[in-house]
Amino acid sequence: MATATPAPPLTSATIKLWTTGDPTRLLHLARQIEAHHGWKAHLNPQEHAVFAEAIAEGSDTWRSLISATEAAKVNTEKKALEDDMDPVDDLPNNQAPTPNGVVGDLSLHTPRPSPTPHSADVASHLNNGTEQPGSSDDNSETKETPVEIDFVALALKVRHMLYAKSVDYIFATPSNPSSGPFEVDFTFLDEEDANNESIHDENDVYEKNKLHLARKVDEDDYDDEDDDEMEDGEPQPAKPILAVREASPQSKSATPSEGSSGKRGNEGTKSAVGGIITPADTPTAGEVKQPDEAIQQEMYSIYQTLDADGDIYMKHDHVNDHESHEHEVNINNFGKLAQLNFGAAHLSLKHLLAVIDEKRQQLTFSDVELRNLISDVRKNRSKWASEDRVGQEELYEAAERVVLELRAYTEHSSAFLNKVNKRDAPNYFSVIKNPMDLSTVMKKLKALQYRNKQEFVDDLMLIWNNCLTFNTDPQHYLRKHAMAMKKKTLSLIPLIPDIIIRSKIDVEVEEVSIPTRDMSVDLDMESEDGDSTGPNHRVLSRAIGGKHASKEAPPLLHLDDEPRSRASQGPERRAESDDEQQQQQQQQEPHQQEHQHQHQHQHQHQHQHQHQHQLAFEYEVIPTMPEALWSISKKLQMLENEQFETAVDISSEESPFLPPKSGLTLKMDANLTELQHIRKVCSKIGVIKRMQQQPHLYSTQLKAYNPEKLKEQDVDMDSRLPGQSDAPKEVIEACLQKSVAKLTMHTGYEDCQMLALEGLTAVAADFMQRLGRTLCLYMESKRGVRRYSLEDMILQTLYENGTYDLGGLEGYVRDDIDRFGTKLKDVRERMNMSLADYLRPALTGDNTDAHFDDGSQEFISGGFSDDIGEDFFGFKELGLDEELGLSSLSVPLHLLHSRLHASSNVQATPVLQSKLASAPAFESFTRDKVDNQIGLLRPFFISRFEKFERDNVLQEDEFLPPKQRNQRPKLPPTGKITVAKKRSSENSFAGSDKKKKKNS
Amino acid sequence: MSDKYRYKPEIQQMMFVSGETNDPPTETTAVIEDIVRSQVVEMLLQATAQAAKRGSRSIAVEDLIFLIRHDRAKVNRLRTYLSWKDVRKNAKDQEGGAVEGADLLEDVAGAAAAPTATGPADPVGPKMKYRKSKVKLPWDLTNMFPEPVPDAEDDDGAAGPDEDELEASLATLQRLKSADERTRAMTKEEYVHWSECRQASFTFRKGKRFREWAGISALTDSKPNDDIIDILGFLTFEIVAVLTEEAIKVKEAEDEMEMRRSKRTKTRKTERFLFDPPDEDQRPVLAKHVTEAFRNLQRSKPKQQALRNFSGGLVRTRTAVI
Repeated sequence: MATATPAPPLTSATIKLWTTGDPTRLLHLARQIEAHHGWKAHLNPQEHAVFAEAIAEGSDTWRSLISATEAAKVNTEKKALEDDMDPVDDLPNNQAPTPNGVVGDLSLHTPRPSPTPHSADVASHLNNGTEQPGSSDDNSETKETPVEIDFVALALKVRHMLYAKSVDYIFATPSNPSSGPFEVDFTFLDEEDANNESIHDENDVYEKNKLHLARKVDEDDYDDEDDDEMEDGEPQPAKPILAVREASPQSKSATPSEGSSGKRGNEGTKSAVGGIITPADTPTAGEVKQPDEAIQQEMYSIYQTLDADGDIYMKHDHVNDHESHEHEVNINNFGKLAQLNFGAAHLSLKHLLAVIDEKRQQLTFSDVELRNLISDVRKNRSKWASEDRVGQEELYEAAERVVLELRAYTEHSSAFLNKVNKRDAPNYFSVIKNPMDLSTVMKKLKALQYRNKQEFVDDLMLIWNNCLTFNTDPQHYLRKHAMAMKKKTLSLIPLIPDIIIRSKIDVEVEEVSIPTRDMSVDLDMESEDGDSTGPNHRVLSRAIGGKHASKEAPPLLHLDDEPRSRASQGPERRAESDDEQQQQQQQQEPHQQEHQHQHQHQHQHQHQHQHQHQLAFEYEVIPTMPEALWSISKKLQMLENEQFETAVDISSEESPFLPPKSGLTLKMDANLTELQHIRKVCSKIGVIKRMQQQPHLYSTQLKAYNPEKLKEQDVDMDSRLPGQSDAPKEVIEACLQKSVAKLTMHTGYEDCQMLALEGLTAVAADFMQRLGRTLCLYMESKRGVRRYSLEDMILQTLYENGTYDLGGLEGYVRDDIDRFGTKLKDVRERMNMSLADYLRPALTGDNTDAHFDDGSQEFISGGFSDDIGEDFFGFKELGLDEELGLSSLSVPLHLLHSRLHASSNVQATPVLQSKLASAPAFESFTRDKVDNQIGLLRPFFISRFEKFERDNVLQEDEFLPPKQRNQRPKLPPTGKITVAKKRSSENSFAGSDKKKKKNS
Repeated sequence: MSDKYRYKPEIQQMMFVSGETNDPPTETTAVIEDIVRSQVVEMLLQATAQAAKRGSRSIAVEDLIFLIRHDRAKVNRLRTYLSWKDVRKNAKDQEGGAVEGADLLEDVAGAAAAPTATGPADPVGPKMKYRKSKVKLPWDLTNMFPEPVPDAEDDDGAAGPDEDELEASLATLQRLKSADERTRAMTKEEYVHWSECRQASFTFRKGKRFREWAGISALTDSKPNDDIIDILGFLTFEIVAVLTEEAIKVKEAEDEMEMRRSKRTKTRKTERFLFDPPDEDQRPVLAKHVTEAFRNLQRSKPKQQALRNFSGGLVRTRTAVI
């Protein structure tokens, strides 16, 4: 029966063995175990002796053993005991002789009072137990030999053995073939079952079962701690009762679990047992260990238990510290960067940046984006702000201020404002080799020539020192000025921040290398080494926000990632980690250097961390209610709407949130539509003008102005429900804002910044408030009799608040609305007329000849496009064709009359030339002729060919359309090259002013 | 003050045109000159600020007009005045100086000094084709759109008067009316005198002197061009006119008060003797009237104070441009 046999089917009887806890059955089982020597793993010799005795004895002894309730007398041979005891003596066990236990032979004396109160009861109880007189002799004899058996512990051990571990033997697992599973014959149970109905004290059993079960569950928990304790080797408070054989994790775990579950037992035993490692040999220890481990492994593969997490968590903490440190450093760097980059207004942004740093995790931006965003904001503030140079802004701001201050120091500064004139001091330049003055300094500032504070200061001091050098006479007035200026400069200089301007790239590289320095000092030494830049890569990729910058260094933590649903990331990450593991293994071979190990170690750490992260994430409780359920389906939406409608009852009355459809509103609306029409006409005119100016106008450039019809939209459904308050603050504010926006549109603005709009709304709200308050004042004023009539009060209120009288209001309506409307109509008519003017054929008779000369008219007018059917100029989009009744979508000839002029001019000359014999044209320059050219020119030609993507012919400049020609600026007679500024037609004063308004 | 009062005759003339028949004492003219100067300074400062908002260093015509934009009548008058300047220039160009400068100047000056002229008096003869170009106001409706709105064209090519102008010229009409009444009874010499007085201007052909007097160089970086000076001349005329009218009102109110008081105490003089000095001679507009008038004009209107109604704080006011 040593071979593994398939486990016997677990009959109910079998199971009852454990559930009932019937001692007799247990006895049978025990006997069987005894028979198979299965006890070896669990009990030490003495215990075994007791055990065997108990088994042999039979029911009572057995029962008492199991229950540890009474002292049982076991008659064993002293010899056996003595034999056994000797090795026990030799066993180096640091057991302090405790009063517990039994001295002498295996008469199971009551254990002496034990420290725990509970066990004290037991002890007293035990003390009351009968002591076999017969054994006293034995006792006395063997008193010297300290054999201490804690019977409670023993009992528990035995129970454990019977309950827990016997199962293992029933079910032989392939992983522990050496454990020699035997088949426990459970058939006896059936017999027993029939016979023996005695059931133990149910409570006891139940309790024991409970404890047992608890034990079973908790068992695993303690593994960790035992492991840890084992590893750490903490000295346990020695309460050794027995020489405990640190046989296997099971016994180890058995005892603490026993200890824990048996609260009656000594708590000390647990720790005692746990801490002691005795180099006892346990032949079966190893064997027994394995099934556990195997089981553990299996469990881990099925369930994510918290076992391994413990130590991983600890390691994770270490790594986390690293991580957080690094991250913190990163954040700090970010903050530092913030300081660097945004120096001048740093103070104002400081809090903003601090908040951003705090909530960094919640941001979806990468570092780079954030930095760009903030520097964009900053850029608007200072003219010195520059993306590429760090620190420029602050330094230059301060420097500029200093220069201005010095300039303004009028008593002494006048001599230094400008360059020294040669006429004033003829030999100046022979004496002074580096002239300098305040305006030159300013110029250099503007040209961004200073790279740090020192350069700037040097220049300033140069000015004064030049003066002092040149004017040697101590009484010279300029010396006094120079000294004064020097003094002033020295007082101002400390105010300039000592910043060195570096380009952004340098800064980033520096920043990147800082955290790695913390992690491992060795790494940054070898920056050339490709692999050691791994962490650099890693951190760099994190700093810059690049993901997976290098294949061998994928990002560590996904903290920077956008918050994709973590669930979806799980398998991804696992795959990643697998990859990493493989890579690591691959990498491990070639690199033997120390820092590489460190690198790997790090890698592993973080990898584990990552792994851990995965675990951790899986432990997180994620609300698993699927989104789909919550999204309102269409049907639901319809239902909602219906309900809303019944509740709100739209049609009955006008919504209080919309302007009433009264006269003024209608007039204003009419005006607004007029404005829109006018703008439409304007856009058309604009297009036509552009077409006249530009030779090639692409349809993409043309944007039709198609404003939507203005529609007043009511408040959302929610706010209209009857239960809502009548005057919800936000809704009303929004209504007012809408009205104000409408008014601004009415005034003629096409666009409005939100901030401005809000400001206006605030002012309007303020005004209405004041009206109310003034009216209140009047109404509440008591002067015996009311001074004013109601009408007067209103008029007075109006007067005091700015509108002089009703006439003023009326005047407004009349002028600003009515007459405005008529003016608008007027304007519209005028625009239409001008539009018609533009489109009317404006050709005179002169050009008619030119038409017929050249057959290329079609190309100019785009008439050929009709054949293709293409809308060449996008007229359809503009709607011009319908409006003008264009039958063809080509450009009307008259629009091109300007160009026709040009073309006719061009054509005029060939007409003349044709009378003369034309010279033979040059041969076209083809690709194959390149080789015949001078070697120096060949690359040029080849590049030209490539540029124009033509293989065959390069066109001479003459034949190219003018736009493609290499246009060189022509020098005017002055010889100065100036770039002509483009001035549009509306750059008259009126235009520019208007533009400024529009650009608001 | 060691200020030499340089514009006394001009001011006297302007006052005469505006309704003050007596010779105003030196005091009065001195006060008026001071007021005018402070107004000019204020206008220039505000105009410079306005130009700076635009990003330009030099004052433009529109900047000055911006300051008086609320008074539509004045704006229109000013625009008319400026358009006549253009006419004058064009006439000079076209005629090539053949026409005597004096004639032209007189005619045009007459037109200019009568800024309320509604219809051209056909200046130099039918040959001249004149273009009246009006200053475009940036805040006008026609400038609100991306494309320039062409002027409304009538058949004869002359720009028809806008409704606006008609509406806003109420004050203008009133002045015309009062002037008409005054001149109705004048003889020819008187009328000549009258018309000469109407031409009085601070700046007409005295640009340099005006600049010096106003201290323009201290006020602005850039040198204002002639247009600006002309406008300033026009505006100063308006200021004096307004001041005088106000002062007269103040004086009359005061006189009325006096009369009422005197009614109670003394009996009214019903007899008028032959050699009594003319009533009004004894009561020219005095300096105190003028200062009172100025104060009235400077009183801040409720419109400006409305937003400060329920809040406290120090009220800082600027000198208002009349």
